[in-house]
Amino acid sequence: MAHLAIAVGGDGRVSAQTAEPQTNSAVSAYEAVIGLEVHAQLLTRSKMFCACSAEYIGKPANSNTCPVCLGLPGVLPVINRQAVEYTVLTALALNCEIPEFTKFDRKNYFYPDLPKGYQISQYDMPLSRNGWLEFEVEGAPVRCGITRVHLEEDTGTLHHAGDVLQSARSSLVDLNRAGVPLMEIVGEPDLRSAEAAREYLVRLRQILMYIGVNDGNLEQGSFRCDANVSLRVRGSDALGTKVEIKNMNSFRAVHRALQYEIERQAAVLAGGGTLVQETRGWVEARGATVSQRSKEYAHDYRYFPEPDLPPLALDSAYTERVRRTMPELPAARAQRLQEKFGLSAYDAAVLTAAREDADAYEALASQVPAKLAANWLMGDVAALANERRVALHRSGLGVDGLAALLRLLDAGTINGPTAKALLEELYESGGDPAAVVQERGLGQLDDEAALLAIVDEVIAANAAAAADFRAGKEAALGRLVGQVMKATGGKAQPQLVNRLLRERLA
Amino acid sequence: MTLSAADVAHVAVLARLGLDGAERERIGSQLEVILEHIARLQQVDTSSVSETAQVGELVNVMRDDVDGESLPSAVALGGAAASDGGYFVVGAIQDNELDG
Repeated sequence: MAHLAIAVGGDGRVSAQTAEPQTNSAVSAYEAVIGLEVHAQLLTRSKMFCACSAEYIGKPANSNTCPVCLGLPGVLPVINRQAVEYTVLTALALNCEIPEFTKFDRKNYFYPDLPKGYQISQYDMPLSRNGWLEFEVEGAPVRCGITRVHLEEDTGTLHHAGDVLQSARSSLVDLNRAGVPLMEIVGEPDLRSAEAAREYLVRLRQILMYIGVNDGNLEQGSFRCDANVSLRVRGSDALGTKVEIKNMNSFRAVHRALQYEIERQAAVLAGGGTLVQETRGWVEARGATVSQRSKEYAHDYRYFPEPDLPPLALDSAYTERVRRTMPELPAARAQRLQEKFGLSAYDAAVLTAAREDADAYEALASQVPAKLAANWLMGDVAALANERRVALHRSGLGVDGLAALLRLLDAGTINGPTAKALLEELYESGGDPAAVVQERGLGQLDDEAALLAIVDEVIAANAAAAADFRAGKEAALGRLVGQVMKATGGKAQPQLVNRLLRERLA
Repeated sequence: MTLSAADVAHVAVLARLGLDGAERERIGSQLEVILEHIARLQQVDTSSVSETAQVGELVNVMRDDVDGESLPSAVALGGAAASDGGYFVVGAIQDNELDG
């Protein structure tokens, strides 16, 4: 497969050329070494060091700022207690150690989205260290080490005036996001493929959403990922030249960018070239990573301890108190549901993908047969939620309404098609399914004598189909069942109709 | 200790200071005096003193997660050299100019 290699000339212009078409064999000679850094905004009400609202999306520019997050002289930051607790909760979910002493540091650099000229972050004494996350990639278990989870503040956002970046004469700065609590999760370079990297992110995001610390929105940037990628000859322990990839804002982009970068590096190495340690940005439209030529000195951050913030001494009693607030995590929950309700591993994974889905399933499975609940949630309800863009727990019908509907179905009060029609009708508007069934007489026709009269009428009116069935054509029965269902307005129980027809035609 | 011209230029860039040759020389020698002073301090035996960045002995000073009032944006922008449509305006920044 040929692919594009991007080269940046001395004039900074980007050119593309086709690499040697031996990419796949080049890739197979090397092993990828990938480590991910995730930045996740915490779902606090207020910012990290001041009382401005942490909700900034859709707000008028600079309407969400105060002297602290504007970086005005003489102000003092104060640590948000909830942000610390969320970070510790995350660290515990990722099996990290929580040291009893931690502090904040200043990371110094100049950029217009950083009004203080430094970011308050954590350098040598982060809130946590040495954790791990386990998951499966194509059926094989993977354990990725977690170097650290620490707490810092987000920057503001920059908008470029003018349509084209290159022609922009000025940049516009909005500091609404500046100071929003930001958690950084640094992973060990334990991932060996683009698939493993994507799966790590999917699982990590799922955990953050389960424990309620982050909303997992890659597009809006509340969950962001940078990757460090290098290649080494298979079987070797040596580390190759590391390239940092930025600007991947979907799971698909992460996968494509890493795949591209692995192939690009393999082609360079296979061609006898050497790689440059650099930062490259993923350009979605071009399907390529492009050198950002960031200057070396930009990484000279001159960290020093933040003099305005007293350190944190979080004892084991504190950590244990936070640990007790930990909800059941997705992997454990999937395992438990598998055992408790006899679900397949696949079904259990689907039903526990989001905490709200798992809650819905458990509530339903305690009221109707577990298999029935699973089939409806993964089938009609999932399709409807997707089509109408409303999750079940936020719909008018809600989990309780669905439970009421499925109880009617399970008791034989209504049949499957009626249940499906009611689901579609009541999904957004809500309502009591039992009352609607009663009011409109949607109850299943289970009076055998009444149904028998209709069956006889249908047989008389469809003599040809009846004759076909008697002659051994099974398919003809379906046509007759359909006619009976139509005559009863869909209220008959299909199995009962089936039996009565067979008896009459015997 | 001698500070190279490259060191001075590097620190000037980090501090966003545009220095000409004469200024670099003058400031470089002043910086050197400061570094010599620090070097002298580093000769003091501090092996029995634990590292500290704080002298107030305070720990765990935190606030509850309650959102309060922000400044009206006109006030927030009041000190800006230039603003437009509620934004601070700065010279054009290319995304790849400096690593954020």
